[in-house]
Amino acid sequence: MTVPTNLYQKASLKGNREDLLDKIYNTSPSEVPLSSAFGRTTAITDFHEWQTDALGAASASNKMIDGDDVTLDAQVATVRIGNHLHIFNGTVGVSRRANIVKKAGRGAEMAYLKGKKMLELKRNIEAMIVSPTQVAIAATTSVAGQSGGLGVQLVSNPLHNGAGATPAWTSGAPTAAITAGTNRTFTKTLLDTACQNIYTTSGQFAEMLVVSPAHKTLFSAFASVAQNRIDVKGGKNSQATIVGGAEVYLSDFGGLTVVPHYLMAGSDTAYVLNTDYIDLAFLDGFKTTELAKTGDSDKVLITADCCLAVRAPTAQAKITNLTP
Amino acid sequence: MTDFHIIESANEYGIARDVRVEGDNVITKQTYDAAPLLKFAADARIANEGKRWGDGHFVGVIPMAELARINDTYKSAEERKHQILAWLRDNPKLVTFEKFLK
Repeated sequence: MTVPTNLYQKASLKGNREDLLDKIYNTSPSEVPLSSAFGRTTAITDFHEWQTDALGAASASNKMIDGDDVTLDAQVATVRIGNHLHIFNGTVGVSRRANIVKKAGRGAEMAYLKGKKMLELKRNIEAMIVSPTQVAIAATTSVAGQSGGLGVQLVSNPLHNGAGATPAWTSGAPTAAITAGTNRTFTKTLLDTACQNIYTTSGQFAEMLVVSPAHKTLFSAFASVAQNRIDVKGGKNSQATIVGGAEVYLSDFGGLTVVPHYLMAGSDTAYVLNTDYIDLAFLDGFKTTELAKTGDSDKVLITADCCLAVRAPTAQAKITNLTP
Repeated sequence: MTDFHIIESANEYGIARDVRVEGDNVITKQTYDAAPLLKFAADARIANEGKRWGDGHFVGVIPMAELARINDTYKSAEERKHQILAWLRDNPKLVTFEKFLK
């Protein structure tokens, strides 16, 4: 096939504005410390599913008589779980007059505005992720689908207090609400128990502790931690300022990064995570669509159709019913 | 020639972003005030002087901008841990336990 003479091809274009948008958009991972750390995968429908499986309990008495016949072991089926996709969305509109008046850097400004809106959507996704209570909701013709957050997906190692409980997934999705409990103080014992539970149920060591700024301060005051630290005094160098940094702890059991999360301010929950086993599943990534003209302006719709997928709940823990 | 330039105010982690679009190039400069972190780490180093390794030792503080960049770049937890510790070794003023550097 021969390309027709003088055909204006994609390769001839100078300045692809979508690339520019991507460049602007991709420069702020610090806004979303969890989303940045999670894996990315593709969803193919509005209900994203995966399977979990576990080995049977180890038995030191497992043996057989030489030459004996066998009876087949009972097999345990894999567990199929999933989450509903959630259409995060935002719009940008520019009037015809604004388009004409401000010619210099107009394309760049529009790309910036779109990038900013995408960043806002990213923060909305991050808010869904850290939500201790947001359940999954299936989409219908009149109800928007909703992704369950970490709170309802960390079903294997939840540490509640009082009547608090995280229900097992219903019909393969985390649609049931968390049962309210009684709040208590965040302690090192609770954190140690959460880390031990992760190791017992998955053989993994905790990688990241994600807490509210207030719980970060409490964590810093834990006895065995405090003896290795200075006292954080109030004033200019107070803990509120140190929220700009994550603390790194090392022990015989590996490293733990303590991340204070600004979207968790006032939260009653702390998450202990292994991010290798958590993904965000996107149907078609972040998508910008030019909308049909309905007036004297140009409008753009930006969507991110995605859900949170905790692949291995046994490798994660949450400590909830904490006094905020 | 600068087509577009905007300075964003600092976010919740104290990170400000300066975005400059020149043609099809985007120059982004992220800044944060490291002074409180440096002071905090310096005080912690003094407080930890002479102490021995123990369980759960606090070894350093990494600015959120750097942590987020590492998390965004490296997708394996083990690799991230390696990169975080390497970053601290490259920035000893943010290390809070001297023995970590030896």
